[in-house]
Amino acid sequence: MSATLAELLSRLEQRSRLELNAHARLAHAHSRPAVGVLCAFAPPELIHAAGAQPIRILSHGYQRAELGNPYFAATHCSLVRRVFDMATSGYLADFDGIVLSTGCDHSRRVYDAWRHAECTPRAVHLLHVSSDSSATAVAALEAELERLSVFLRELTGHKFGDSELSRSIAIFDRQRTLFEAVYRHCARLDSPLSGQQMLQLSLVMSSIPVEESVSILEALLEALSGATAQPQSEARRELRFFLASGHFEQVERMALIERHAGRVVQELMCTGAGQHLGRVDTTLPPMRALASRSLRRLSCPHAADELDRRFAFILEGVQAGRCDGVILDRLSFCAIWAAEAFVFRRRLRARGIPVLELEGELGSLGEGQLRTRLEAFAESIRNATSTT
Amino acid sequence: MNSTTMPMTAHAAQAAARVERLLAHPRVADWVLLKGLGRLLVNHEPSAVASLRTSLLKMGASSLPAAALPAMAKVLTVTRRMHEGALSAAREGRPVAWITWPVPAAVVAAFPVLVYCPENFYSVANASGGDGSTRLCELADRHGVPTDICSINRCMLGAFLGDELPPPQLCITANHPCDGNHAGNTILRELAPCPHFSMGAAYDRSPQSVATWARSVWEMIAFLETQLQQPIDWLAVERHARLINRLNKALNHVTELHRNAPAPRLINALAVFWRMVAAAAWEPELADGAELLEEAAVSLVERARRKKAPREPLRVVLGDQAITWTDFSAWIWEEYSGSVVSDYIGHFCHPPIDTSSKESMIEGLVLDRLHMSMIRQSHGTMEYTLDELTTALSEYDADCVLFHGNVGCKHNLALRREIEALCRSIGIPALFLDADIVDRRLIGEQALRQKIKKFLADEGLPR
Repeated sequence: MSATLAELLSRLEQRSRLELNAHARLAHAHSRPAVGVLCAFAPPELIHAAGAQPIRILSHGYQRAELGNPYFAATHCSLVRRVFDMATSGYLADFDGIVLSTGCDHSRRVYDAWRHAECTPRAVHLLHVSSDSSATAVAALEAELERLSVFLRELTGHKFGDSELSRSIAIFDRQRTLFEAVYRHCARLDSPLSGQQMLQLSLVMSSIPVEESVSILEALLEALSGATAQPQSEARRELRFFLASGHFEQVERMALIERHAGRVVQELMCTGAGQHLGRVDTTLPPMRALASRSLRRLSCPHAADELDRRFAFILEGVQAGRCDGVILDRLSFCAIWAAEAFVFRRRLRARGIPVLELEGELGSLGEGQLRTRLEAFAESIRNATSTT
Repeated sequence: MNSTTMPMTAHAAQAAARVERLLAHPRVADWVLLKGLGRLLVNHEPSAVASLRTSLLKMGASSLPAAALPAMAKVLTVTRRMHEGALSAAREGRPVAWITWPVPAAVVAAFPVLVYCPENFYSVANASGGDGSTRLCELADRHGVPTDICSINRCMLGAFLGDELPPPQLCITANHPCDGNHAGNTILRELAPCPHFSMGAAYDRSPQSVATWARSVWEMIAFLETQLQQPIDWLAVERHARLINRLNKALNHVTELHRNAPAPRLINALAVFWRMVAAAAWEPELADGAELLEEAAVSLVERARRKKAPREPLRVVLGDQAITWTDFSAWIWEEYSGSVVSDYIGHFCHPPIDTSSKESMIEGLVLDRLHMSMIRQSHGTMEYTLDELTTALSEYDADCVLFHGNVGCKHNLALRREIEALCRSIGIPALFLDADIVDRRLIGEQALRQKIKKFLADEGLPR
């Protein structure tokens, strides 16, 4: 008998609370080395083909940053400071290897500090990523992925070639296709899924074996096919938002947004749609195809020349989700995302789309301030709508 | 657009012309500019000459040896011409291509277009007073430019928003080597209403990275040829490469000569050259000036040797990006008879460019740009910075190292612990000033000097 939607969502919610190191231990229980990935530049397919389990490094459940503080300043991103605390405190000891990237100054310096401090695991690899998505950049990343393959082969002792890689690409693309269907469902006015539940789904997907996430997505889609939300009268209609963010992992923050502003029905986050949407071009050789997806997938502002495509995705999402506004939420001290937000804000305002820009640090919700801003934003949208 | 919409550039052009005229008479310039006004301005900021103060301090003011003045005159000529070129291009609507530091500008200059580097604008702004760059940061703030972005880039954006830049026909940016550049360029491309080309980033200086960067330059050439409807002038590229080779050879040598004790005190002059290298490295006068500076350095070292001049009581290394709105060299000279012997910016160590083929020239120009100060230390792993610092501290006979600690520089801030450990292991005391190198609102000059005074006293320096 298939599970009901409520049961599935409840299981997802519980699963999303599982701490990072628990995922690594679970991977070991299934005889798979655990490889932590800080950014989504490293294709999970490569790690999967190497017989390991890719696990996105998330910091929820981990509250400290003190041990990271001697290495990083207060003006460094709170994710990096926490991750470095995890690395120096032994919290990541169950991981077999870590893959970092040159996606930003914060991230690349984690690699430097990692090599010089007493961090675990010792096996750490830095992926060089160009800041655009030109043909040259894709070719360069392809060569980098070959280097990453060598690292993974040495780490896992598992030799793999194009056929294993193609099989891994197929299973991850299956996951992406299913995720896209759920994501599209979310845009519907009668979708029962909240932004909070979508975030839980995304976080779980990036931490568990891909085969398991495919099963979860299939079950979820089946359960969704008969489920609809209660219709709302226009007067009492809940506001609907598009959320654009980078590394967004705080379920409580999403809950706060939905409680005080409105439902998040579409998103573009490094930890959400940005990571899980966009299939691999299987007409290309596998490594070239993975490099291309890494740079041309939607999420990361690191690929500077993809900004227009990211913005087009937001506009499509606003339209598809009948959104009342856009919320731009970023981690404090992230200069790259701050610049992206500057551009998005200008462009959205020029189109008459209400936009709210938020920033915050992991671990400090700042609930009072956030609530005030969200309520004021929602109020201004309602006022404008009623005036119209 | 007319020149009145670029008041800072107009002012900088006039100021450069005045100083250039004075430098035509080195003996007079030495007395008036360095020993007279220069000495006065080290500790005073009279409003009548406030706009000259930062420029003079940047040249080294009273600490600059008179022998360097002919070289400075050449730099001033190129500087004035650059400002006047920007003004006339804006006035007459001539094509301007904006480039950012890491772009091999000598390639762009082989097209019929004025090459302009907006990232350099902090120096133009500060030529109109020590708070010029701060005012532009304030302007950027008012337009909602995020303060998370490094103030060098915020100043550039402030200059754009304040109509201080010549309007571009093309914009070529390289999101390299840091987040500040990346973020600043993202906004710049959004604001500048013109076609733009974004170069990828080579992370390190490995042959693979250099080859990648070179391929990006070939893409840029194709972009420029399409946009300007003109083929690249390869003879010009070769001419530029040869001039850059002359310039680098001379300035590499001047840098090395600072290992001598006493040092020739030309670090500020090197930093002045650095600013022009970013925007006009291919100008013949710059190569001439570099060779004049080399002559001056050699003669200063020779003279010191002949006279058996003693080592300075204080030899200082400046370990990171210089503050743009003030300078400590002249003050250190006046206060402690000390010299700055190595500096993050005024440190030239460029490899020669192989001019034997188009391909080798492009690779050489790429590698040249990756060796330019700021870019050289900012990309790659921390060893790029630490190794260079180790050399400066151990081979330039340093007594201490000052870090301006630019608060907006995320990659440098993340190295502080390693840098502290390195200085401890070598036995050289280090001071971190936690300043903002472009935005003066964070901490002022007197407060910084007090910190340095206290630090030196605590360390028992000068010896």
